[in-house]
This record gives sequence, C-alpha cells and structure tokens, in this order.
Amino acid sequence: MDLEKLKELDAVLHQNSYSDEVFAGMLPYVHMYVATRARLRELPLREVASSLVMIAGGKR
Amino acid sequence: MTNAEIRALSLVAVRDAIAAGELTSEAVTAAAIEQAHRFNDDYALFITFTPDLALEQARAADLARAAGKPLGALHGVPITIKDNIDTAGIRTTAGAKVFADRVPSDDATVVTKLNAAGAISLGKTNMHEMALGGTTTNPHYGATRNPWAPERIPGGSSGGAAACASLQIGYAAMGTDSAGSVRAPAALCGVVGLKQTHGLVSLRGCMPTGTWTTDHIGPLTRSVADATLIFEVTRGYDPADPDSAPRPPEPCQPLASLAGLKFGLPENYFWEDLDDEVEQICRRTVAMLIEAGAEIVPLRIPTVDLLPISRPSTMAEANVYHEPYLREHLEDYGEDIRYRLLAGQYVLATDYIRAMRARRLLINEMSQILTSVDALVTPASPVPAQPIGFKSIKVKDKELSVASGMGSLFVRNTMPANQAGVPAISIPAGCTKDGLPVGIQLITGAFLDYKLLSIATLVEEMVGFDPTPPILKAMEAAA
Repeated sequence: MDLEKLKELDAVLHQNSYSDEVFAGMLPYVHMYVATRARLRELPLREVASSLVMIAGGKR
Repeated sequence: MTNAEIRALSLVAVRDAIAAGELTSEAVTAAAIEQAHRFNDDYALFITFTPDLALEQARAADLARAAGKPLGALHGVPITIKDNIDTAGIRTTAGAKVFADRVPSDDATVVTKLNAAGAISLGKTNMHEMALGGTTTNPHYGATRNPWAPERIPGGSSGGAAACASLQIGYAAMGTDSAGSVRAPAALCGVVGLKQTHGLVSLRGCMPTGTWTTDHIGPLTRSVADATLIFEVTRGYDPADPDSAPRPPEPCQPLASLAGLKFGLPENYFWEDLDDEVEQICRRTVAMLIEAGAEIVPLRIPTVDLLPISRPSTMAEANVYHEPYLREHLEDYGEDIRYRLLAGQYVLATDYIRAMRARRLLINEMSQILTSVDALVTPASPVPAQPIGFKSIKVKDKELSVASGMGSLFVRNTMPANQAGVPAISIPAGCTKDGLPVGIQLITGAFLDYKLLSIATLVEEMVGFDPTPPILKAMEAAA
C-alpha cells in the first residue's frame, strides 16, 4: 500500500483530514499490519475459541 | 546503621527490622528519599515524587507500631509505584502529556492492598509514554538512565521502576507488563522482575493505555524473595476486575535443589538472533543448571513464531483507548507512538477476532508443553541496554531499525508469556564485558507461580549475582 492508497482507504472508512505528513507517519505501521494479516488469515481459526473471555460483573 | 546500609537491606530484612523495632520507618524512608534526591534530577526517575507525604506516612507507621496496632506484611516499608497505576489524589499520567493533570479519585486495587499491608509510596515512577515502548526515553518527563551505565536506557516501559529498584530507592518497585515491561527493564538493570499468572493480581485502576488483554501489574525487586513477598501481598480475586481469576495459585513447598528438575530449552524463536554476549551468558546459566543436576529438554514451540499476528489486536486496542485524545491532541503524543496509535484505526474487526483466536493456539500449545517440563528457560531480553537515543540495533549480522519493528526487540522473548497468560520471571544472570546486566527468564504453567518463584530462588542462588550497580559501590567506597 502506498500513501495514496492509504488516503483512499481513509476516505472510505473515516474521512479524516490528516496532513500528508500524518499519513506518511502511519504508513509503516499499516504495512506491518498488512504483512501480519496475510499470515493470520492462513490459520484454521474458525473453530478455535477466542482468548478474549471476561467475567460477568467486572467493572474495569 | 548508616543510610547506605539501611538501603542495602532486602525488603524482607527491612520489614523485619521495622517490626522488631530495630529500625524506624521514618529512618528507612528518609534514607530512600535521600537516595532519590541524589539521583532523581539526572536519572529522571519520578514523574511525581512525594517525599513529604511518604515521611508523614512513615511517622504514622511508627506511631502505629508503638501503639501496638497490628502490623501489615509491609509495615513502614517504602516502595515506588509506576505512573500508570492509579493513586487517589496523586496525579497519574501514564507518562503522557495528555494526562499531565489527571488525578484519580480512587486507588487501584493493588495500591489499596499495598497500603493495607503498610507500604509507603515514595512517588510515581517514570515510564515509556503510555507503556508503549521499551526505552523510557520519555519526551515529556525526561529520559531515565540505567544505573549500570548512565548513558544507556534502563529498558521499559517500567524504566523508572527498574532504575529505582537498582539504585535502592525503595525496596520494591511496582511496574506493569503487557509484553515484558517489567521483565525487560529488570533484565537491563540487573534486578528481578515478576509477571505472575494473568488474573492473579487485579488490574482495576491500571490505566488501559495499550494492550489491556495482555497487561499485568508486577514487582521489580533486588531478590526473588522480595518479589515473592510483594506477590503474596498483591494477589487475590477482585470481582471488580473482569480478568481476575477466582482461584488462587497452586501451593508449592520450597524446592530443596535443582537436581532432577526438567527445563525446556526452546530451540526456535527464544534463542535465535541474540546479542553474542547475551547468548554466552544465558548458555552459561544453562550449563550451570546441568551441573546442578537439572535436565535440559530441547523442544520446539511452533505457534510462538506466530506472535507477530498479535499486532492487529494490540494496534486496535490501543487505538480505541486513545482515539478521543488523538483527535484533539495529536501533537501532544511522542513521535514514537503517535503514528502507531493512529494506524490502529485501520485494523479490521475480522482481523482482531482472528488475532484473539490465534492467541488461543499459543495458549493451548504453551499449556501442553509446560506440563512436560518444570519450566522453560530463555534469555529475558535478546540484547543488553542500548545508548539513549539509539536509532538501530545490530544483532548478529542484522541491523534492525525502528521502521523494521525494532521497538519490540527488547520484549520479543517476554511477550509469549503475556499472550499465553502464564507466569514468568527475569533474574539477573551476569554482565557483559561492558558491565551491562543480562537476565535469564523462567516460565512455568498457569497458576504455578509459587513453583516458579521456588525454582527462581534456586537459580538466583546458583548464579550468585550482586545487584548493586557500580555507581553505588563507588559511593560506598568513597564514604
């Protein structure tokens, strides 16, 4: 993904009014996410339980 | 007893001396404050230093003892608290400019427990901004220095806590650890860092600034025995914390010897791409375990290689917390976390859910492996302390830059225990030729915290590391 693609993605999802500098600053981290996403999607996770289990009644 | 001698006592020893009337809490607290005054300006140890309040509480502790009132397990003992753990009426900033004026109305549960045990807080320690990094080079509250090499980082995010523990400012430093933020700075500063089983110590009142599903509050101390005492005081079910475990850890009688214990040595991930001297020192520790009669079991943990998949969950969780502040105060965030936090808004819900399920694969595999050995043994941090302001790290023939994800290198080996929720501890294992401490990490199965601490006690004794940094030895020699 390049800067323009990220700006297009943002326009669809959030419509932020960031400067090019801010978009450029985010780009390496978006790349990291995209790189790990591909591997994540290869895993057979459909029947794996989530690790996100909270106890009812908690207030934190 | 001189102030230096008082400061050099262990937590257990000073607690016992106060209880026996051999020392007053006021004298002990004043000695710690003297040390804090000596180093705080140069070392950026505290964000909010509260010496007057500490002395007032110390005098009250002495009066309570004189009146024959029941004494808690930490009666009159000064400690420090990381600045992302809520303290009623005392500002708690998480090392962030956006929270510079945040004053909680309630204590975190862990602070309530420490207070009830009679501990006295010296103040709130410096940390990596929002606990989202491993340097404690804080753009708003100063760069904390490593007591073993003042031109270097102490690690983080609990860097102020690690430096205070090392400099004998208080007898325990409470830190937080969502990927290794207790154990990594402990390793870099030559002290002990404990992250217990997830859910055994309440997280209510710990600012959820980053990755709340992997966070823990844990102590940094100068010995395993001291960490054990803090664990005893702080653990316990808290119905107000949705992560709190409604069961205690498994009891474990103190082990007499390392002989016969099985230590798993993961051949993948943990022992890869280490600094040469870190590897040498940690392998020497493994050799000592063998000499002591322990059995080393080579094994592989394939799912640990999937750890980068946790990135979507951590990015999204942090973004959700910070989004309102990022919108209004973007420039108030340090550059090293600003864009990382913002990028979390593009993580898809489907990927967050996948990451949470993928973590279960690691939990299951780690749980299975940890039934076949008594503990895993790994280096705590793959590299020793780096110079303040460093831009890259060379490991073997690889030059890792910030852009390549170097920021997570310090916690690469500690992070799996957070993802799996199992207990882990970092113990000093030695020093590099430049005098930089190196830590060895032990990991056991969930709720086997007492077994972990018992094994760690034996390993600590076997290594025989002196946690006193050279700067304190020099002061002692000059006195």
